[in-house]
Amino acid sequence: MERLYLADQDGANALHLHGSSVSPPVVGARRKERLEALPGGLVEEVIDLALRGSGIQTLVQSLGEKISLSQARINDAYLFLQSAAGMTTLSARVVAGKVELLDGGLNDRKRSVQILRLYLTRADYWEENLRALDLSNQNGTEIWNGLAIRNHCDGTSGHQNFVDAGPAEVTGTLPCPVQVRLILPQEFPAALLDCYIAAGFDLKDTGGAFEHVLEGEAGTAGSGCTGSSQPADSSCSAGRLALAEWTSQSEVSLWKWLLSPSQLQYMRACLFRPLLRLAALPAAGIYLRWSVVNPGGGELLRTAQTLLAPDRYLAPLPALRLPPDEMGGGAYQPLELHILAECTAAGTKSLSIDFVHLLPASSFQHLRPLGGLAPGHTLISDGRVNRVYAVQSSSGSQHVSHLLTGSPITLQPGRENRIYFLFETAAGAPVDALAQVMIYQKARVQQP
Amino acid sequence: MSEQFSILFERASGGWLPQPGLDLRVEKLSWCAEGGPLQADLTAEIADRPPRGGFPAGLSTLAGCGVRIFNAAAEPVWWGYLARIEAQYGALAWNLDMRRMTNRVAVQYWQRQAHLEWQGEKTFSPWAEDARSIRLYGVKERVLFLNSLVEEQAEAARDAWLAASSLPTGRTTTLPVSSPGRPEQIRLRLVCRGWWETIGWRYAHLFDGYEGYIRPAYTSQTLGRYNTSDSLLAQSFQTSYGPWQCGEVLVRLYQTGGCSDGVTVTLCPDASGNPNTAAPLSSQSVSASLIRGLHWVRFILPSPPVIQPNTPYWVVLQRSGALSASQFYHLMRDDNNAYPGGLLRFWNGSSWAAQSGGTADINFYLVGYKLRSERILELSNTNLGGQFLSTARLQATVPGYTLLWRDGTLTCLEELRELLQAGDSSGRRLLAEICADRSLLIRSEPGEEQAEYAITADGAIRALSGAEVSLAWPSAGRRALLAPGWLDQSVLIWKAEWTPQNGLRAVLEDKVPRMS
Repeated sequence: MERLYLADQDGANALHLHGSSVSPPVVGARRKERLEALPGGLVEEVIDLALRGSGIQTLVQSLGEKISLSQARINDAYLFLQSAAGMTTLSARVVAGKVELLDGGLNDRKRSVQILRLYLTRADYWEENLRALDLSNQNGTEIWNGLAIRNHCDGTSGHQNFVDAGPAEVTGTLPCPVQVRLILPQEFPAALLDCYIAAGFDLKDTGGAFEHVLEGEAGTAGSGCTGSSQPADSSCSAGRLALAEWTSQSEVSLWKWLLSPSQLQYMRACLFRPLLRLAALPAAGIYLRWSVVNPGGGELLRTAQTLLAPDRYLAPLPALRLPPDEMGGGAYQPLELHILAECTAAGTKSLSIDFVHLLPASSFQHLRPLGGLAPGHTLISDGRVNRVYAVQSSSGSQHVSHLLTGSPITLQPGRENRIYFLFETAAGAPVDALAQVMIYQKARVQQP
Repeated sequence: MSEQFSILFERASGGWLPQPGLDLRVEKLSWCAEGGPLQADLTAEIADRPPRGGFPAGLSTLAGCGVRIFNAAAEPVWWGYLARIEAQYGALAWNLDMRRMTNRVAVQYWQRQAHLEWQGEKTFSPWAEDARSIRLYGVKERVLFLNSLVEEQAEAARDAWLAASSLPTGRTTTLPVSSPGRPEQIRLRLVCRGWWETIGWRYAHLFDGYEGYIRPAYTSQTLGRYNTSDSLLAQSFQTSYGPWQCGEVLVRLYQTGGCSDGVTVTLCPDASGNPNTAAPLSSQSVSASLIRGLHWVRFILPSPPVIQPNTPYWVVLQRSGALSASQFYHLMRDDNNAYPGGLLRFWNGSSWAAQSGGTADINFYLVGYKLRSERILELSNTNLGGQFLSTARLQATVPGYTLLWRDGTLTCLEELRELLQAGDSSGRRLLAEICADRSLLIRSEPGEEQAEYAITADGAIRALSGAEVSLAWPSAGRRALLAPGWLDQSVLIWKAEWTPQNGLRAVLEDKVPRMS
C-alpha cells in the first residue's frame, strides 16, 4: 500500500493514514485483508492506525468528526487508496464508521505506540478519478467537451439524437452510473421541459447498429384505422409524418410497424421504452397502448393503457420486452408492433405520428420539469448521486430545474455504449433543436 | 427482487411539489381489484436529532398530497395520496392520519314531531364546513348519526366535531425504543393510500327522486263512475331538477262494489295546461284485485320516461273497464292546494276542467330512477366522490336502474361498491381501478379463459411465459393460471403485493379481509 488517506471528495482536507505524507502522531496504517460484506452493497473496512507522540487526542477527535459528518451526509468523507506507486488512486465514500482503541491502548503504550482501529463502512467498490468521456456520432469523433445532438434521428447527416462511448472509453470493472450534461446553447429554441435520456450497450457492432427509429410513415394502417395519409412536413423527422384517423369509441388497432429480425436481434428480449413524437398536439382523452403480434396472427403481449397529455408532443409509452421472450439469442422472425388507440369521444379522431423511438428501458430517465430551463443552462443528471440539477453556463450558479424519475444512466465498461436523448420544449419538440452532450465517469473497480 | 423506484410528491390538484429531501425506501406496494393502487409503505431514517420545534411538524404539510412512484423505466407503478405519517425518535412516537380529519360535517337526527314525540322524523342538519381545510385537503365529509335531539343540539354537536377534526393533527405516544443501537435516529414511515379510498370522502346526498303529495288527504275522489265527472282524472307535477327518469307512480286508492277491471296510469306531457293524452310517455295498469282497502298502489312503468326540469307533466288515471255507478274506485283528495307544483283536473266529457277551482290535489308520488351506468359515473363526478379523479370510463355493459334518491347515510364509495357487486349484463362482477391519469376505469371481471398471468407455487406473479412481470403492468383484477397447471384453473388476482423480500405476490380473494 502506497498511500491511504481520508479527505473530501475532491481530495481537500486530507487526513493521511499511511504513506509519505503522514505527519505525527500518525506512523502508518495496515488494512485488514479480508473485508466483511454488509447488506446493501457495502463492506466494512478495518484499518489499524499506529500513532505515536502528542496530538493523539486531537487526531481521534478529527477522525470521529469526519465520520460523523459523512454519516449525516453533511460533508461526505472519502477513503483514498493508492495500492502501489504508479497505480491510480482510488476512492470510496465513507457511509458510516467508528474509532476504537485496541485493548484500551494499554498494551500498545508499553511499546510507545497507540493502535487505533478504524471501522469504515464503504461501498463494495472503488472509484477512479472523475473524467470526461470521449463521445462520437456523425457530428464529431472522440469529443469530450460537448458533442452536438439533434432532437430526432433520420438519414440526414448529423441528425442524430445519440452519442456513442466506445469499449475502450468506458473503463473499470463494474457497470458505472455516469454524470450526463446536456448543454443548452443560447440559440436553443425555448425553455427545456421534459427531457428523456436512455442508455444501452451492444446496440452497435461491426455489422451495423440498432435502428431505434420507427418513422410514422414507415408504418401501415391498423384494422381500426378509417383513413390515413403520409404528408410531407419539413418540421418532422425525415420530412414526413403519418396521419391516421379512426372513428370507433372503443379500442382499435390504429397503426403498426414491422420489427425486423435485425432490430430484434439487437434488442435481445430486453425492456424498451418507446417514445412517440406527434406532429400535432393530441386531442384530450386518447389512450394508447402496445400490442405485439406475430405477423401470422396471435397476440404475444399487450401493455397497460396510457393517456396522452394534450399539451405534449412527446409521449412516453409503456415499456415492453422485445422480443417478448428470450429464445436463445438466435435469428428472430419479424414481429408486428401495433399501437392501440381508444377515445370515447364521438366522431373522427386522429393522430399525427412523426416517429417512435425505441429506447433502452433498463437505464432510462424522464426528467420532469419544474417550470422550465432557459437556454444558456446546462442540465446535469448525476447518476452517482442520483440527482438532477441545472447550472447557468455564464455564472455557474446552480438550481433544481427538474425532478428525476427512472434509473441512473449507467454505462458498461468494455462495451459499445449508446446514450439517447429526446426533449420537449416550451415551443414543442422541434426536431432540429440542437444541444450538446458531455458525459463524466468515475470508473468503478472491485478490488480488495 | 431489486427494483429501483423514484418517488415524487405532487399537489392533490396536480403539479409537482418541492420534494422533501428524504432518502425514502419502498417497503411495500399493493394493488387491489377494487380500486387499483391500494397502499404504499415508505420508510426513511434521519440521522439528525430533531431541530428544536421543527420536526416532525414541518413534515405534516405533506399530508394529503399526491404520491407517485415510478420504476426504473420511469413508468408510474403506484399512485395515491399521503394518508399517514409516523415518526419515532427513541421511545417517542408521533403520527398523523388523514382518516381522523373531517372538514365538512352534518348530523342526522330524529326531529321530534309535536303529535308523536317518540317517533320523530329523520332529519339532516345543514352542513358546516372549514373552508380553509377544504382548500388545503379537499372535501372530507362526516355524517354523525345521533339519537333524538332538538335542532340546536344537533348543530352544536356538529360544530364541536368540526372544530375538533377539521385539520389533520398529530398524536404523540410512546412505544418500545426503535433502533436501540441508534437512539439518535428518527425513523419515518409514510403510509400512502390509493385515490380509490377518497371516493368515500363524500356522502351520496342525492335527495331528489321522490315527487308528490303524501300527507294523508281526507276527501274521497271517485274514479270510473260517470263520463262527465270522473272518467278521467289527471294530476300535474313538475320538478326543479332533472332530467331524470320516472320509474314508478304511486296513488292512494280503494274501491267500492267489487270491481273486476283495474286502474291504468298514464304519464303524459303537457299541452297548454292540459294532459296531452295523444302522446303518452308511458302507461301501466294494475288489476282491481290488488286494490283492497285504502293503501298506496304502485304502478311500475315499463320504460321509465325522461322528465325534464321545470316542465309540467301529467299523471292521468282511468279505469281499464267500463264506467259503473255501483263499482268504482276512490282516490284521496285535498282541496287546499297541498301540492303547489300541480293541480287536479277531470274530464267533463268534452274538455279538461280544474277540480275545486284548481286547488285540489290527490295523494300521489313518483319514484325517480337512474340508469345504473349513469349512477356509477355520477358518483365519480367532481362534486361527489371524484374530487381527485380526472374522469370515469365505463368499459362494461351495465343493465338496469337504481333509485334516483339515496338516503344520504352511505358514502359515495359504499354506494359505488353496491353497484359494482350487482354486476354487468352477463352477471359478471364489475371491477374498478384508478388509473395513472387518475381516471376511474370500470370493467367486467375477466372470464375464466382470459388469463394474463401465472402464479407460481410460491405465490409469485409471472407472465404466462414465466418472465418477471413489470410493476407497471396491472395484475390485480386480472386472471392468472395456477402454475404448473395445478388444479387446471384460472383465478382472479384480488390483491397484488410487492415487497423487496418477496417481489410481486398474489393474494387471492378468499384470503382478503373486506376493506373498511
